[in-house]
Amino acid sequence: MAETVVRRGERVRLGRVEGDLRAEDGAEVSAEEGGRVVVSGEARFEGSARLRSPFECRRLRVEHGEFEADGELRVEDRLRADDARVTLRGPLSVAALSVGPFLALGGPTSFETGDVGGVLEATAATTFRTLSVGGSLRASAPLKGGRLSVGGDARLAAVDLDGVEAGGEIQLGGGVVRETIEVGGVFSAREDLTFGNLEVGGTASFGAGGRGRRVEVGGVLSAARDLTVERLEVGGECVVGGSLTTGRTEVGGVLRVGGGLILSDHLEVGGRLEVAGDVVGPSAEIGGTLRARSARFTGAAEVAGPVRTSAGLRAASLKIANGSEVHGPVVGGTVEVGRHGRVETVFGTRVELGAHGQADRIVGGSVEVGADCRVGSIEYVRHLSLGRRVQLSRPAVQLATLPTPPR
Amino acid sequence: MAGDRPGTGPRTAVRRERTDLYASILEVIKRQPGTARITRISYGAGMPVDRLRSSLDRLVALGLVRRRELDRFTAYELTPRGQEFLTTYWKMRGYVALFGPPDGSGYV
Repeated sequence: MAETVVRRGERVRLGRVEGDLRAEDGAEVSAEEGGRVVVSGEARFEGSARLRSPFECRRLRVEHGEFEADGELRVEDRLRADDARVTLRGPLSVAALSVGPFLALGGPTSFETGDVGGVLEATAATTFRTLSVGGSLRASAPLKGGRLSVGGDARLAAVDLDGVEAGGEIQLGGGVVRETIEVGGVFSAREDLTFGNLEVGGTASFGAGGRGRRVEVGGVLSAARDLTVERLEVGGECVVGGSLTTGRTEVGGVLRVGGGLILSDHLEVGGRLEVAGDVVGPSAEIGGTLRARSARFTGAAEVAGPVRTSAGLRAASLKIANGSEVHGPVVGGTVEVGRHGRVETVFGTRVELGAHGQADRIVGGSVEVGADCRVGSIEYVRHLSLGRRVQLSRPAVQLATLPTPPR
Repeated sequence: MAGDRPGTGPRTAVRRERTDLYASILEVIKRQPGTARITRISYGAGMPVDRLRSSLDRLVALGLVRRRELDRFTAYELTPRGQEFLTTYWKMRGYVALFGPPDGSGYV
């Protein structure tokens, strides 16, 4: 096949080149009469080069140095620059690209597969099927496509992607990631984000809200507004400024919610649960304090620490651990308050107050009060059992039916 | 002086930097399974090749990276132990993050 050669440092004007083009170091190529350069074969640049006009070729290869293109660049097959820095100021369309240390994309770009060893900077919209960046990626314009993998950090504008994976840190503007976001270190989204799964080793933060399927965060998860997920696992602290709607949820430390907490599955919190609004769900185990306007569980709930609600704690079966202090009414099918527990008002089909406990008022179908308890009043329907040395401020009253508990 | 005690001060800082460095090298290698050339890794890790070479020697010696002689170049790949290191490293970073912000001074 014919080969056109541009000598070292030469400035040439070209039109259509049949066959291959080979340019030595320092070449500068422009188009004749303001048109475009079209190379029917491969364009190979042996060193630094600059394309001053739109350029089109079947394959493009840069061996070393700095490669710059001011106009549009169209490569039918592959752009390869394993050991060159590439700066493209105009639009790029290419099937596959492989660039070593550095690639700057200044115009709208589309490719099927991309592989950049070092740094990729994109300042215009970029569309791709797969993109792998060994070092870092900065994209100040939208990214759209399939899977993105970054070895180091990624700072992105809005995204519309299938999946994202990064070793270090991902900051993105918001958008959609349909499958999994996997980040070793830190993840943050400035705007609303819809996602499939989110797996983060360190911390994750949503500057606005988020909606996804499964979230696993090793350290801290925070969301400024509402967060809606199907499953949530956080090793440390989870802070949601708006409401949290979730399925099965496990939080190792603290779960703090600024709005309401709506659960469709079991909740397990190792430390404190603090909710400004109402908690609704099937069941819960709280390792520490529970604070909420109200908490209502259709199944079992266990709280190991103090409880404070203004509108009540309600569960089909409720266990309050030894020594816990409960502020606000408690309503349950079965309510067990451990030894040395202190409660205000308790309503239950069956109520047990452990030894040395205190209660202002107990109302139950069946009531059992342990030894050395102090109780303001007891109203019961079927059965009352009082331990030794129980002090009652008023005599217990047997009722025909249970009164309606507070709603 | 704090730095004179084992595991504190400057000594800890040096160790931490090295750990971070090794993690970033491993993350780059992980993304080019079986084909990672030293120059390519140097671009990704942002390190000169000569400095990277000694880090890679260390990672190979520790069993975190395997060296493979291919036809035209030497390639590096992550070992299962290297992957285990990365998993543990990020998990530990997650725990460390617990001690930093956000404290969440209270929506309640």
